[in-house]
Amino acid sequence: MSAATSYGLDDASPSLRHYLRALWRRDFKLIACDKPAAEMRPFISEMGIHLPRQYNSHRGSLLRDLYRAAAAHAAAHDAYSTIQFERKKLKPVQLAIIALLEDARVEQLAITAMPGLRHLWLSFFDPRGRDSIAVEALLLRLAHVLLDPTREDDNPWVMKGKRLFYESQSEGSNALALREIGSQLGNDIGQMRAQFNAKSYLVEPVYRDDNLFLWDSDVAPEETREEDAGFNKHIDAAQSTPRHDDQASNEERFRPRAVATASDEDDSGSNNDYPTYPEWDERTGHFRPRWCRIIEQVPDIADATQLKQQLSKHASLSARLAQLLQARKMGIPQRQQRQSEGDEIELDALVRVQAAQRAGHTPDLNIFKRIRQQKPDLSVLLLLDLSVSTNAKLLNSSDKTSLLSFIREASVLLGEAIELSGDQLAIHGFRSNGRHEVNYLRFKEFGQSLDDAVLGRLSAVDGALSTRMGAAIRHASQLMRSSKSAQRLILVLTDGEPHDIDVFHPQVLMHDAAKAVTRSAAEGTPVFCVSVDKNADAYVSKIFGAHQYLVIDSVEQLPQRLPALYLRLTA
Amino acid sequence: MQQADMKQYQVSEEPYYLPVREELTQFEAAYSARLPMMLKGPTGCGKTRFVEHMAWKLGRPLITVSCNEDTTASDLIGRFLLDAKGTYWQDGPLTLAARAGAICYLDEVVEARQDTVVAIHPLTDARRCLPIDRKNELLQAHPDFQLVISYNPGYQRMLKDLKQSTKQRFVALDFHYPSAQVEISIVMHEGHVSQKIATHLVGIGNKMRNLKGHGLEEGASTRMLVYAATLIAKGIAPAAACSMALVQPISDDPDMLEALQNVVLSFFG
Repeated sequence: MSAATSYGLDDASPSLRHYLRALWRRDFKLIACDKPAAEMRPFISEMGIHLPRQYNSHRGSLLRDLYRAAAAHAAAHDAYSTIQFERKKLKPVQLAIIALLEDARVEQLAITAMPGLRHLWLSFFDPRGRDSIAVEALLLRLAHVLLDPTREDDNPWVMKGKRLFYESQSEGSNALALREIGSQLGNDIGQMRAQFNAKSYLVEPVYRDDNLFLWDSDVAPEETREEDAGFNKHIDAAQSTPRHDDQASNEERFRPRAVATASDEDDSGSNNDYPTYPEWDERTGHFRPRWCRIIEQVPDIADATQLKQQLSKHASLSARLAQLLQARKMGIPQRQQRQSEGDEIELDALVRVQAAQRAGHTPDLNIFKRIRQQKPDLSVLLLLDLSVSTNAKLLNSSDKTSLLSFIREASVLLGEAIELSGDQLAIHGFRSNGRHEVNYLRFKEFGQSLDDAVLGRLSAVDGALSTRMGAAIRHASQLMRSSKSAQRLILVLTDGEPHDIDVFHPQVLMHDAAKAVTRSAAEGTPVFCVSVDKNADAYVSKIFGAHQYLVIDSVEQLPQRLPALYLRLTA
Repeated sequence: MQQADMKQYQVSEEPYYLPVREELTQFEAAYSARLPMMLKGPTGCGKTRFVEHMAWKLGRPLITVSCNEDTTASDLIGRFLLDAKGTYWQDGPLTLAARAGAICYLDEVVEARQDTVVAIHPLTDARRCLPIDRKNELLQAHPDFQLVISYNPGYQRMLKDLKQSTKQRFVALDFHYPSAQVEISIVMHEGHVSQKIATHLVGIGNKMRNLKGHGLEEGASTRMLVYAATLIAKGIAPAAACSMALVQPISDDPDMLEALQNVVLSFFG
């Protein structure tokens, strides 16, 4: 690699996320920082691990490892740095040394569990220029001998640090002892009259984070945090609900639609032309009759140019899906026996012929069996959660695309896949504003082709309001009853727990949704859930059942994973 | 009638099996009452090995059928065949086991077609009999006969599952991946590697299992770990052996492959 190569967080993060999940059994948010990598270190906040958007280096092959080393180091802090140190009365050099010792402690713990990490981290210690006795050089030399216990150093201060560190950790890992050792080693530096410039100091090696989160927060350090602050502002803007005027104009674009068939579920009824459904109240153990009112809407057709552009990115995926689905379009093999012609002779029939002949009877010569392909006959109703949270912008995607735009793409790709396979798909969505106003939006019906109008309707809708899942599932299930397909399936795509403005215990709507799912399955329409909330395992299994859901960690994968899921479910 | 040689179904040597919990005594108790047994658990966690071990321990012949979607009721029960004199009846593996008092093990029974699965029902309740309608025979099961099925509940399959009426006929043992200590012993014994290498392999396995449902459909099985150990014992470098046995078989997604290879490097770096 002659020229400087660059490698960015966007390239690294899909694989990094799997890597961290495997190592630490939890999900980390990786957040890109736009400050030049040479002027910053990674840092850890409550939001996740902040890493430079791009590293530039001549050592191209190391860049991949650099993200991995930085992420693994930060994750080790997350796992093992459980106490905060008191900052008071400590000098800057002491702060730096204590942080360095804590780095060594968490790395040691991580290495005990995963020995290969030592090699990864050591590869970032550059042995050149180490004879310096500048404070920064001494700190790096100390960090090096702590990470590699076999290494010796000719500087007495470095070796003293090593000895004190290992003595303090000899009876099990001990973070509290580090403050004392760090202060002592810092005093030694003071007595050496060596200069330490806290302003320009950057933790070395480059993969280590700034360690600011280790300290109690009563005095927030002024540098580096502006990045954080700017970031938070961004979040607020992204996650706040749409301004009222936006929402109003949004609502105007929908016209309520008269519903042709009134529901005939036991204690549901139609009221002012709107179907109503009961809702389960777990606290009383009863259904509240005619509790939720469904308002059906067909969104107007908006400009779908942007959606089409996004879809064009998935051309290769579409082609691959088409190939996979050829097999399904061919049909499901169905065995037919006692045929007059076919692919194979049926052994039992042959025996019957021989037996009949020997007994002097006329044999039945239908002795073949063949496999006929039966056309697939599945109706899938894709039910989209369109609550306000789907507007959230994705922070780690480069162009700040919203979750909803991925949901749109995924819906269309799934729709294409299902059309190719010969099955039927409808795309509906829901959001609620209290029990009297559960909006049920119909984007595409069974039998309708997936044309520009559908894309336009999908483009017209932004996320708004809440998630009253049970009522929506009941209505969807009701619509599915009229389907003539042999197999029916409702696929719910959601990003969070059921909630609504007039219900204060989220558990209530969760139990209600679970009831709706059970009922629908009993009526022959199983409900499967795809959640993009990575903390969803806790509640989706309660609603949909232990094996009836899939959690997708990174939303970017939704367009690929949803059609793949369909293939697997129907295989 | 042709008499099958039951000797071939005897398990003559002790199959290696390291108990994880109380499953040996639990199985023996179920067997002594002749209760049908369901073994639940992910692929490669030792279900088949466990049945072989129990058959050896109880001294019963073991007849194994790997079920697939083409497995018909005739494949289990039997069919008429021809010879020079006329037709004769050939027992299927299930009938053979019921007649001779063997343990019949239906592996991955959920793969078989529904009508096939229903055929085992009369053998699994108090009747303990097998109606062979083509032959007009009602076969009363041998007193030593036991039915064992295996079942992997982890696969998310909407349209394919065991019926409740089938599931509720069995007592079940839930198999999981063994604890790290037990799994290390298994990998050392089966793969012929040192404790250090086995510890690393089990560490990698457990890390990979964290990805189940988060990109991987199923975590690394004990069997895969043993394969990796076997390759290492044959002289393949550990990282390469893990790539062959653990990483490449489990996923095709480039990001996932890179992540898994890095997990391997976090142990064998």
